[in-house]
Amino acid sequence: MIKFLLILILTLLAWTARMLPDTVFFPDSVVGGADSGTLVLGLLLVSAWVFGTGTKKIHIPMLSGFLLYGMVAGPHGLGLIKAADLDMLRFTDFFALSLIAITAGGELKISSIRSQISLYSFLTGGQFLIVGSLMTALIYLIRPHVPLFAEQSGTVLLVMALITAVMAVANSPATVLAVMKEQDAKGPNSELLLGVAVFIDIFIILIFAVLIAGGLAVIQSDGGHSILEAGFSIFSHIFLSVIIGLVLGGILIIGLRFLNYNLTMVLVLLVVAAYLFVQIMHLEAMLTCMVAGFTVQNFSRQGEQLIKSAERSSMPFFIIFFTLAGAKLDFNILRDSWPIALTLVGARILFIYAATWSSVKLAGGSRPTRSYLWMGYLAQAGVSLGLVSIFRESYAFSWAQELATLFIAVIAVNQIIGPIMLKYALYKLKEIPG
Amino acid sequence: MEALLLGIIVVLLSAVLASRYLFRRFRSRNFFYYQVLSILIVATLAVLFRRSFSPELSAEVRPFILLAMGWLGLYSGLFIGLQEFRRFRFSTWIYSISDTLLVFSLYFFMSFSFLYMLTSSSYHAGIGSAVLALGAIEISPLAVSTLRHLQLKDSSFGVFLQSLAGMSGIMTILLMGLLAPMTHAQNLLQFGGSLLLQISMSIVLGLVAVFAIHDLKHSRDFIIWIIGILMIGSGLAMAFSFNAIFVNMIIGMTVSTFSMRRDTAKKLLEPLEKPVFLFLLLFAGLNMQVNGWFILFATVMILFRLMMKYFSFKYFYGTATATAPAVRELAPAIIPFGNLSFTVGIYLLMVVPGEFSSWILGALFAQYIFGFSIAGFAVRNKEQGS
Repeated sequence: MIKFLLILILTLLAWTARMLPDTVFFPDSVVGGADSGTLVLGLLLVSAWVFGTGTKKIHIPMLSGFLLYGMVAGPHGLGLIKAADLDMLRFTDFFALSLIAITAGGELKISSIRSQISLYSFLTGGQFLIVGSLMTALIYLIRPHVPLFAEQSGTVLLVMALITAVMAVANSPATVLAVMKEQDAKGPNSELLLGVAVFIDIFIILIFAVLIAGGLAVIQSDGGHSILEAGFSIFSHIFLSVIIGLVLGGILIIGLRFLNYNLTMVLVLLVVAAYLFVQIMHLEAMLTCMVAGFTVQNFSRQGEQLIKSAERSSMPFFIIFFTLAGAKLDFNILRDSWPIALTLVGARILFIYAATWSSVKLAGGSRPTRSYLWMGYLAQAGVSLGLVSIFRESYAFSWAQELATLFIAVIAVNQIIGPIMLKYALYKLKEIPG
Repeated sequence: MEALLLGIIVVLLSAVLASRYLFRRFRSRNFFYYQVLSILIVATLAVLFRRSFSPELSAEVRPFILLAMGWLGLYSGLFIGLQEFRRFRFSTWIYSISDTLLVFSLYFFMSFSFLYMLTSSSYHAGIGSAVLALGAIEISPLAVSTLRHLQLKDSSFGVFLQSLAGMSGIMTILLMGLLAPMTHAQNLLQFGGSLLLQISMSIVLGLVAVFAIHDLKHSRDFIIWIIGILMIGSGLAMAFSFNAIFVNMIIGMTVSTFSMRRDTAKKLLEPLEKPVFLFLLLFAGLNMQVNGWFILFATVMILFRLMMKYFSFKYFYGTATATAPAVRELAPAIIPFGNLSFTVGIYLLMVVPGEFSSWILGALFAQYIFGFSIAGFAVRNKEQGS
């Protein structure tokens, strides 16, 4: 309780500072400009942490507390974090996402994947095939009842259905990692859960990019974009992201050998380098960093040490990343679109259950894995929001904007239920100590 | 942004690699080479990339600068709870205050005359000379290393100089905090009110930190609260045109005085020391501009500062505690400028952005590097002599 009182004092101080800029007493005040980033970051760090510890006490993951605080304090809530702050904290957000991606990539060990290769393959393939095809079918099925779908021509509807399907498969390795670290979860199912989430994410980035470019080429048949051209551009883009990830991983291995006295410095340098490459070459940041983490973990002796160091200092970054993700969500969207959004959420849960159950059964997995693993794939977070914003920017059609709004509503619900279900799954799979 | 980041990577990597490998040989002989050459490499490379450092980019980096400055204040503050104040002898206090006032006022007077002649603006001359004078107060913490080098660290004189080095840092930050409201206050009442608000806000933040950390068990929780309070303190300081270093020092002092967990906080903040200084040096290098007159003036002032420090020690205090040979040893130990010297310049640049501030920063940086170089030679000569 005392901690809540303390963040109330800090919030009041910050609020006063933000309300005063043009008063007589402080004519030179610059808050609202460049310096509010520091204030907002500090406030969200401690406040989200207190919210997180509060939700932990009622057996809900801390992550949900961070998201909740982001929603409450964000531009669509109380406005303590303003839309301009979110822009200002872009680099910090990138920093957090990159570290999470490096850690997630570093959790993938070739030896562990090799020992469960059939489960990895069936689960990854199953999610795409079963969830993807069932979601596509569902869009056609509900078409007459939803004006957004009913008004579209055959080609546009197909593009809409496929993009919705890919969005349904997308999950959140960052959430899986955050909940695992928070609960100190260890075991084969945790490794499998995270590994498959990372694989799905890599394929999602690839497929989504192809779909966006291909869909645009089909819809704007007079636009001069051939599908082949678009496909080539996407593949070279993804290929480059992987290559740069490998290069960064290599540099990191060399760096570790020479500078292993300061792991924090090495990590900071790597993230800055990744940001540089991503900005110049327009790479997939998450993919590049995951490949770098994977390379270091599997091809160097010091990799384990570095990943552990990243894990140890990961909590502040989880707080920043998930609080900002929460702040970006607008629950008001649900006011208009809740029937269709909840239908999609419900259907997605069902399809993921079916896909995971059948994949584990086919691969010969254990009964508890079959029964509970699906709960780990429900969460959606930063990457899904990123995909929506790419979709929104690429498709300047009114239907695309409406569909993007619908996706955000679905992600908002999944972001809330995902971590809770994931924690329950880890508990039932007996991978949380105590 | 890309050019800036490329610059940062090249500079950081070069500085780290150079300081670690290339100059290891020198380091074993004389640690000053190691310091000076690292600083020179950082500065030179930073100047090479300065052109790409636009005001917009400066704004993006601003939160990190604030954090680094806040760290300086908080970390210093954690060492000086009220209980530490009592450990200093009364005479040390008197000497420190006298020395600070003497160096500050003489340095201010000389700098003001020079800057006014050069710029014909009493505002610029006033603010510039205040910054140059503030930068001259601190005795570098490296004075302690010099003493170690001369095997004088554990002598009564060595212990005394260590206290003085610490006190001079506190005095610099205190003066920075006192002068900060002057940048915006229009009359004495506003100045007083602003100063009072600055101090009380810092104490409130410090007390929040004390209550927040008192029952924390995990170091992870601890670092979140400490870094969070540091960010809030720095952000609020800039919001109200206060000084981020001063505000965080008061927070640190409050924690140090009222919390049993101050050692844990120190231990958690310690690893950030190298990245913080490297970052501040880099930022200083990216923003400074070289003006021949300023550099010439700065060089002359180093000798003036040395004389002032030497005589103030010898006549205000030296005869009472230290023996005559110890006073003679003092010279090389007090030549290096403290790390706060160029930090004061960065603060000026944030409060009054422009070419004038960049020149002042250039002058401070030149003093910083010259100070180390001269001290390096002095120590080497002393070693060869003995």
